[in-house]
Amino acid sequence: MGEELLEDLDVVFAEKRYEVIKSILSQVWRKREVKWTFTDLLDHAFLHRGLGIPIFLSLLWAVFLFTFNFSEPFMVMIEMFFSWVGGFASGLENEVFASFIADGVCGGLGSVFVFVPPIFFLFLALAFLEDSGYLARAAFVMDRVMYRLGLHGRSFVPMIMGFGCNIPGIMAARTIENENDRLITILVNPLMSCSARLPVYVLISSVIFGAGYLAAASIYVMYILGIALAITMALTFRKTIFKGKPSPFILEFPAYKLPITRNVLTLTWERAKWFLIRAGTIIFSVMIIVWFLSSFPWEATGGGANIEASYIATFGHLIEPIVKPFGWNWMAAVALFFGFLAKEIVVGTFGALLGSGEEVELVRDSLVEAGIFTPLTGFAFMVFTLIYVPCVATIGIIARETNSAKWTIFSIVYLVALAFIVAGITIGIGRLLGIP
Amino acid sequence: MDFSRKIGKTAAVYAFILGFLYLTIGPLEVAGGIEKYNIPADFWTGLALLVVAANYLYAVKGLWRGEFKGISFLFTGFILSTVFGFIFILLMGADGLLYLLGEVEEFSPIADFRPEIWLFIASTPITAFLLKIKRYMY
Repeated sequence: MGEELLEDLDVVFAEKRYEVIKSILSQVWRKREVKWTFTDLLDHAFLHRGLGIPIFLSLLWAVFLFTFNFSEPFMVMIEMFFSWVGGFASGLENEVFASFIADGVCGGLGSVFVFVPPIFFLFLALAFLEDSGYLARAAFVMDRVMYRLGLHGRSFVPMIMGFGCNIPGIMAARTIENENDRLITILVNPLMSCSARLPVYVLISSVIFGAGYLAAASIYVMYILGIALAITMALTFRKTIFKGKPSPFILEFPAYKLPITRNVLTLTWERAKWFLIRAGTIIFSVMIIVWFLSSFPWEATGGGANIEASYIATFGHLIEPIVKPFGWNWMAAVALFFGFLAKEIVVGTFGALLGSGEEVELVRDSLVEAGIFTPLTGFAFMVFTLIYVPCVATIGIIARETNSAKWTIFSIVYLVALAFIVAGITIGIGRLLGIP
Repeated sequence: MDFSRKIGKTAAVYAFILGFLYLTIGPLEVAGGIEKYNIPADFWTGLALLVVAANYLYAVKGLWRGEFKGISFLFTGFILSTVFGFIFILLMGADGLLYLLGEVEEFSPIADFRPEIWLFIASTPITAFLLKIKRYMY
């Protein structure tokens, strides 16, 4: 009751402020002719009732085209570099140490660092839109839809930030005053496809669709599916657990301007460095563990050549029955298991398990050769990766921001259940349509 | 009437032609493209081209009457066509780089010269119109 009153007060204050501005203007300024400003011109179309959302979706598609297709040659360059270092290390005398450097260090880091270009370009494009003043309009355009679907207008910014990383996205939900609105935003934020899932999409889409626009389109579908699921779940929560209407959304638009290079690059770096820090810490550590588990016992595996004799295969076969109904094998189960620590690890784990090292192209070729995924099961794997539990760091942030073990456990349980349901539906529909 | 009707009518005709071109190419890309005319199969970009077409066609009525709201849609259509044009020019460069790195066996700038690029080039005269209109604005 108290919070509702505070929000109503915000609306009253905003309305009064504009009333005062209007009354002062009417006394000191006479309108002789109607002239539009540059901002009026753009706002008339960007905020248009019918075209506003299609324009936003078109620009989002342009961001994806730029991010995934333009980054390709830069990814190749990074692959070449790690391949060269790995080749140099494999010539070392001590076999275990050579394998550690070539497969563990270069293989693990290389398979993650190769995704720096698409992540950097994604943040660069988003920073460009933000600095131009468009992103605030996108929030307004989406608010009309979000309000009807049970989300608060202010949820849009945490959601957009979730595209980069769910952690700052969830933290940004602090700006939402109403507790119910804030909890809904936190609970559905992991459904926004963070940049860590991107390497998995890029790999699997290239395995099942090859290179080109179809692969980019399937990645776009993942992002749209994430948004659709977030909206669906928000609506479900609003109608069941958090009954009531979202509080009103007040937003003052910045004027449009040509983005300033320094601002755009600073924003990009601030966000992209998260990925580099994660790659250098948690991802690197986990990749060393994966290398150890897939190469030992050393004699039995022949230095990692016979993966079936490794510790990781034993563990994988143990958890394989959980994912078998989706048509995935033990390697996919292991990759998803380690993906709980950080999603990027899924790619590196496949590289380690298939013995294909650091080059994503080699991991892709090995996956194609191993026949682990058909177009349908691969697509379902992407869907599962999108939905199932966020990384361990995000869970920690959910616990901190909600200050509740109940909501933390609830978020894990509902996301795992949703992943099984949606991936299952994907497989079911695909089989009905006769997709292999 | 917010600005010279003569300028508006010229712009309206040009916006109509551009809208018609985008409206033709967009569905072709959505439907699977025509290799002979270098129109690729690209579902999502095809849909985006339809949005550009909608902006240009929305602009026609307002421009004909000399109203600012016409320029609004013309400008947005031009921004979108510039965004897609630039992106496909960049992708052409990326393909060239892949060829230099030895990742692809051949690189054909003609094959990479997608409709989005020539439609963007065809849209550039709009800048001259926008500059003329500037004096009627704040």
